[in-house]
Amino acid sequence: MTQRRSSGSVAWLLVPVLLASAVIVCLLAFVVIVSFAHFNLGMIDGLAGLENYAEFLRSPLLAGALQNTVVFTLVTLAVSLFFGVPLAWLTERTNMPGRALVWSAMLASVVLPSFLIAMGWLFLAHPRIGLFNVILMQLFHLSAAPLSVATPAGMGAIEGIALAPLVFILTAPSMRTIDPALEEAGMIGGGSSFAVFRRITLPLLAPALYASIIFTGITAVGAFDIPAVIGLSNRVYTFSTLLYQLSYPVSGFPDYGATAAGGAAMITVALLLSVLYARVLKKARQYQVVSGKAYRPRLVALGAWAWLGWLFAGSYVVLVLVLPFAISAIFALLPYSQALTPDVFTHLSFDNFRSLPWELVANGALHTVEVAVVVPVCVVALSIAFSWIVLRTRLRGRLILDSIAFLPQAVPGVLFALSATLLALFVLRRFVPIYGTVLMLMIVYTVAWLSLGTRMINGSLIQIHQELEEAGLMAGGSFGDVLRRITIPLLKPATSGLWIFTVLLSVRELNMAAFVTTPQNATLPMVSLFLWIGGSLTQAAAVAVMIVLVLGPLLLLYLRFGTRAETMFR
Amino acid sequence: MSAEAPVTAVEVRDLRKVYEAGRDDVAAVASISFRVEEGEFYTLLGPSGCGKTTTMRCIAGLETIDGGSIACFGTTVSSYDPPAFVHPSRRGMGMVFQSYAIWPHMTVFENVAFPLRVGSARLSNAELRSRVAEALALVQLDDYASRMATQLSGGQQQRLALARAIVARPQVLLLDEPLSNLDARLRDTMRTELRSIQRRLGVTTIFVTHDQVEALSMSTRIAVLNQGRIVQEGRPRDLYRNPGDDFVASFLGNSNVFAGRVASTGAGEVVIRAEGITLTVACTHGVEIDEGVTVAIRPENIIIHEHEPPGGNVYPAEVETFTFLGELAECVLTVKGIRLRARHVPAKNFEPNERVFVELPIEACALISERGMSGDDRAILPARP
Repeated sequence: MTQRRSSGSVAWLLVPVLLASAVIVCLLAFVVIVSFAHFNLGMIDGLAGLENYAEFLRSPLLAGALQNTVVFTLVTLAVSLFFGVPLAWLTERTNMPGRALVWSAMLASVVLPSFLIAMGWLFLAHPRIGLFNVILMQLFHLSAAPLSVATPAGMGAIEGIALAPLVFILTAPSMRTIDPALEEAGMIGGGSSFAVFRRITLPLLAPALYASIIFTGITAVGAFDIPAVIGLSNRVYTFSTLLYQLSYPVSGFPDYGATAAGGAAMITVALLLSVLYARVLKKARQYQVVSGKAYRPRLVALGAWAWLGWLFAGSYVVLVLVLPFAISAIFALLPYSQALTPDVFTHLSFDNFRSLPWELVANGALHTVEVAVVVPVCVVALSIAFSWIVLRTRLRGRLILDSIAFLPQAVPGVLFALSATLLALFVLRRFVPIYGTVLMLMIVYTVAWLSLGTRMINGSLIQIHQELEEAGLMAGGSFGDVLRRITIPLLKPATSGLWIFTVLLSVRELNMAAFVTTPQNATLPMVSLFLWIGGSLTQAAAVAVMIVLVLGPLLLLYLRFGTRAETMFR
Repeated sequence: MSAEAPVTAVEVRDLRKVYEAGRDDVAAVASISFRVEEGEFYTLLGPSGCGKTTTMRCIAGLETIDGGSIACFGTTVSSYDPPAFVHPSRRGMGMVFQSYAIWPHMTVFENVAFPLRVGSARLSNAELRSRVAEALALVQLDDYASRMATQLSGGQQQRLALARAIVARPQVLLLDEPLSNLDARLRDTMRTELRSIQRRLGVTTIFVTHDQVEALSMSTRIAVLNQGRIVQEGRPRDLYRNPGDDFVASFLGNSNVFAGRVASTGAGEVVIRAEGITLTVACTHGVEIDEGVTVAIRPENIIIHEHEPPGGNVYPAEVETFTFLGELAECVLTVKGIRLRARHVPAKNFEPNERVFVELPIEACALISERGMSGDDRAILPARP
C-alpha cells in the first residue's frame, strides 16, 4: 500500500519527463520522416524516396549557402576564440585589476540579443550609410566602402564577437583548475615561460578548447539571427537562412520536402559532432580529475602590462556592447536610415516610436511576456524532474533520458522549431490547432533549453548529499515533502540562476522564433525582424532598443544570480 | 521488568542485498539474520565493506531487499517473497546518518521540527514548540534553536542529528557510524553521552560501527560482520573472551582490554582497581562496588610521556618494544602486570627497557560491564512515553 503511494509520487516526476523526452525525440524524428514524404498541393500523400534530397541538392542557392556556412563558421570560431580565450586567461590567470568586472561583462554579453549586435554593426559598416565606411571614405578619399559586413566573413566576424562570451565561459573554468604545480614543474625542469605554455599549459587546456570549439561551431552553424539580419536582405545565405528561405519564401509555395531534407542532413551532422563533443568533454573531465582540487592558480603578474589587458578587455566591451547599442539608439531616433553626418543629429526625434505599428508591437510585447513568464518556470521544473530521475533513481533507461535531454544542445534549435512547424501543419492541425499560437513557441523554447537546464541542475543536485533527502524520509516525510521542503530549497542557487537566464533567453530569442512565428504569435524580436526585413530599419532599431531597455533591470538580477551560468554547458 | 517476556523490536531474517557491479552481482549482504529486543542497544560491527551499513539501510527502508524479510514490532516492513515494502517514512524509525545530513537551509529549530511537521499527527504550535525544546534540551542545544544549522560545530551537528532522530519518538533508533566524523576526544565524550541519552529514552537502538571500543562499551549485544555475514553474535564480554574465529579475534584484538573491579562510584565516573593500578573511567551505566568489569582503550588514545605529567590516570611504565610504522610508532609497554599496546606519534624515540609514564585519559577508557547490559539496564529506564 505504501509502496504504491511512493512509486505513485515518483510518477508525478516521471510523466512530465517522459512527455518532454517524447516531444524531443518526435520533433527530431519528424524532420527525417518528412524528408522522405511526397507532397501534393501542400499535403503529404505518400513516400518520395530520395526525391526531396535531390530537390534540395538542386536548389540553386545550396552550393553558395554551404560555402557561406563554412566561411561563416570558421570566421566565427576564429573571432570568438581570439577574444574569448585571452579574456578567460586574463581573468583567471593574471592579476589584472577588475577581473570580476570582466566576468560580469562577459556574463551580460551572453544574454545580449545578438540581432541588436547585428543591427548595430550593419549601421556601422553598411556600404552606403555605415558610420565607419563614411569616415574611412572621407579620410582616405576612397571611392568605394572599404568595410562590408554583408559577406559570409563579415557576418562571421559579428557572430564571433557575439559568441566570444560563450567561449569565455567554456574555457575559463579549466584555466582556473590547472594545477600550478604542473607548470612549475615544467619551469624547474628548465623550460622557458613560452615553452611551458606551449608544452604544458596548452595541452592541458586542449580538451576544454576543443570542446568549446565544437560547441561554438554547432551554435554558429545553427545561428539564424545574425545571418538573417545582415544576410537576408542582401541575399547572402547560410544553411539556416536557406532553410528559412525555403519554408518561408518571399514568393511561391513553401518547399517543405526540400527543407526537411536539408534539416535531416543538418541533424545528422550535428549528432556526429555531438558524439565528438561528448568524447572531448569526457577527456576534459579526466584532465580535471588530475587537477580536481581547489587550487590557487599561479597568477601571472601583469605589472606595467596591465593597461594592455585593460585595453583588450575594454575594446571587446566597446565592440560587443557600447558601439552596437549606441549606434542602434541613434538610428532609432532618425527619421530614415542615412549616413551619419553631423547635421543628422538635428533631426533626432521620437517619430519612429510614434509611427510604429503599435498593435503589432503591443501584441509582440504581450507574447514576449507570456513566453518569458511560462517558459522559464517549465524549464526549471522539468530540469529538476529530469535530473532527479537520472541521478536519484535506479530506473532502467534513466541514462537514455539524460541523453535525450542533451539532444537540444547537440542539434540547433532552429531544427526543433522547423520540425514543430511541420508537425503542427501536417499532423496536429486536425486534432490540436497549435500552429501560430504562443503555446507552440513555449513548447519549442522549453524543450530546446532543457539541455542547459538539466546540465545545470545535474551539477547542483550531484553536490547535494543524498543523505539529506534520506534524512527527510526517515523523519517521516513523504516523497513530496522531501522534494518540496528539502531538495528544491537546496537547489535554489541553481534554479534561480537557471530561471533568470531562461527569462533573458526568452526575451531575446530569435533563432527558433523565426521558424514557428506567424503574425499571430510574433514576439518583440520577431516584430523587430519583420520591420527590418520589410525595410524599416530605423523602426526595427527602435523596437530592438526597447527590448534592451526592458532587459536592463533583468540583467542586473541575472548578474546577481547568474554566476552559475558556466555550469550550464557541461 | 524481568517478569515480562522480552518483546522483539526488530527481526531480520535471511536478509540478502545484491548490488550490480558491471556484469557480476556483488552480494553486499549475503545472508543475515538477527533479532533485537525492545530497549536493546544492538551493534553491527565490522570492517568497511562488510555489509553493516547496507543492513541498516535495508532496515530503514532506504534500500529494497533481494531476499529475506525484516519485521518491526511484529509488522513486516520489508519482504522479498511475498513482496512487501513499507515506505521509510512510515516505519516509525529515527536515523542518525554518518554525514549527519543536517539541512543547511534550515535553523536548528526547523531541523528538529521537520519530523513533527511532516508527521501524520497534527500538533498544535505550542505542542510542537515544546516537543522541539524538549529534544533540544536533551542534547543540550536549547540555546542554539534560532541559529542556522550550518553555524554549529561538528559535535553540535551530531547532537542536532540525534535530536531530530528522536523528536518524533521513534520505535527504533538507527545510528550509522555517528561518531566516525568527530575528532578522537570529542568522539569519546559523545560516545558516553549518546549511550546515556539512549538509556534515558529506552529506545531500541541499532548501531553501526567499525570501532571495537565503541561497540564493546556501548552495546548490549554485538554482531560481528564480515563479507556480508554475521560471523559471531553475543554480549561484549563473550566476544572478546571467546572469539569464535581468527577474524573476530584479530578484529577485536586491536584494542587494549583488561579486567578489574569497581572500587568506588561517583557522578558519571567510576574508579577501577586492576592489577595493582587504580584508574578513573567515565561510566554511565549502573555498576556496583566490587563488581567485575573490563576496561578497553584504543592504542591511539594512550599517551606516552617522558616525564611525569600532572593529572590522574598516569602510571610509570616500562617500554618493551618500540617499532616504527611509517609516521607512527607502535609501542608495547607494561604497567604493573598490564601489557598495553600504544600507537604513538614520536616526538622522541624510546628504547626498550626505558622507563616512561603512560596516561590513560579518563574519557578514552571505556567500561564493559561483566553482567552484560540488557536486563539490568532496562530497570533504570523511565517508562516510554
